[in-house]
Amino acid sequence: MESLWPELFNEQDIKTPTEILEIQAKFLPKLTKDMVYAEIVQPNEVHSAFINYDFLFRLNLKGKFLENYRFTVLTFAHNISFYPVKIQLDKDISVECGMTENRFDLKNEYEFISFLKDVFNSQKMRIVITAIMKLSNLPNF
Amino acid sequence: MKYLFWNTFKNPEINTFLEPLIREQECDVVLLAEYTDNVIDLLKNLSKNDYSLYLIPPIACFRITTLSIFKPGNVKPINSRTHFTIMQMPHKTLGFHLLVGVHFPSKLHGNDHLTFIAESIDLKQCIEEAENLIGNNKTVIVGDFNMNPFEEPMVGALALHSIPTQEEAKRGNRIINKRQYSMFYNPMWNLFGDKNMPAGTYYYSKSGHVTYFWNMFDQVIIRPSLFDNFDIDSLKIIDKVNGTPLVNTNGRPKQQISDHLPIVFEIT
Repeated sequence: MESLWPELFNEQDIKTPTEILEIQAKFLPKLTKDMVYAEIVQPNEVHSAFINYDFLFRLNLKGKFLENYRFTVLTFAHNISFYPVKIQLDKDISVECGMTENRFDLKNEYEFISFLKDVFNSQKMRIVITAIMKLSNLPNF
Repeated sequence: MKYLFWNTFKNPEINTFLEPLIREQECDVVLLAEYTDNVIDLLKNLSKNDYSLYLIPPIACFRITTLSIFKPGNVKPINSRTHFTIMQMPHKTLGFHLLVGVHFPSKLHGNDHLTFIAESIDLKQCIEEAENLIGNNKTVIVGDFNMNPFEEPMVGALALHSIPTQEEAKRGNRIINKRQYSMFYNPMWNLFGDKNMPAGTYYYSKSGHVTYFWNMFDQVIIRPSLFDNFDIDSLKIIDKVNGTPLVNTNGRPKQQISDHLPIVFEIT
């Protein structure tokens, strides 16, 4: 019997939200003298808003010398097709970026990248990153 | 150790009352909401009489100002969001414990019931993560919840699950539909009503069929593991500072000072 499958499975020329964030995460230590880094993790607890999604992640900021501290910038979830991606964003950043709600959908890679640029350039992100850097220099940490 | 929480109503001259309050109550840890006065002046004035408190620098929660007898390097930040901050606070006898400062959004600004449920679930999850991370569940949550102790997000199992009696809360958790939900104890129920004035921490009157007039928005809730360390008689709503009343002749908070009354309690 002949194969019923198509001849080739080409990987889509699309970057997943996680890939995009991992690329962006690599820039942060260089910008913060290795004091602050970003991690993409899968949370243990699933918030009811994300219960119908296949994949769930969080973007956290952490300080190299702040052992247990984390600041969750956003939580995001998507199904196997990657987009649309559902976002839950820090409330202050949502307000700064002019969002009426802090939970919303982004339709495609372009929207996701554009959104991340706004988030990364928000005042709250600058304040948090600066605070983590300053606290990392305190004695006893 | 003695803890104070006060929503200071953005009063730019609240230090006039706050400084003597901290002295009078001999506070070790102070958490403030809506604090807009000069914190450096406050700390300087306190230190003039050998009372050293330190400002714990915020990272991501700017709705809570934290002062403590411990230097900032000894108070470890664990997590912070817009409406709460979780820190590992040193303690004279416990070694350390988790302290959570909360200032939830106001109902007066259009936030609905679902907002409070979502915030409370999120807070509970972050606390449980923090407890697992540092291996300690001696957790104290204090702040302006903008909810009364009897509201669903305060009592609901998936949310804060804070129960009015130690007898029930001492079991530590409940299993509902095969899922386990950890509990808190909410001692604020003991201070509700007019047997002992003030009848709450916040007074608000509105037209409509349901109004409580007195609300207990400012609360402390604790894990059952702290029962032996929590002195229930130390829990008080403060209505005067150095003999100066924080309330009007009708017993309601003086808006010229703050629309909320402070609370104090001890964890020994």
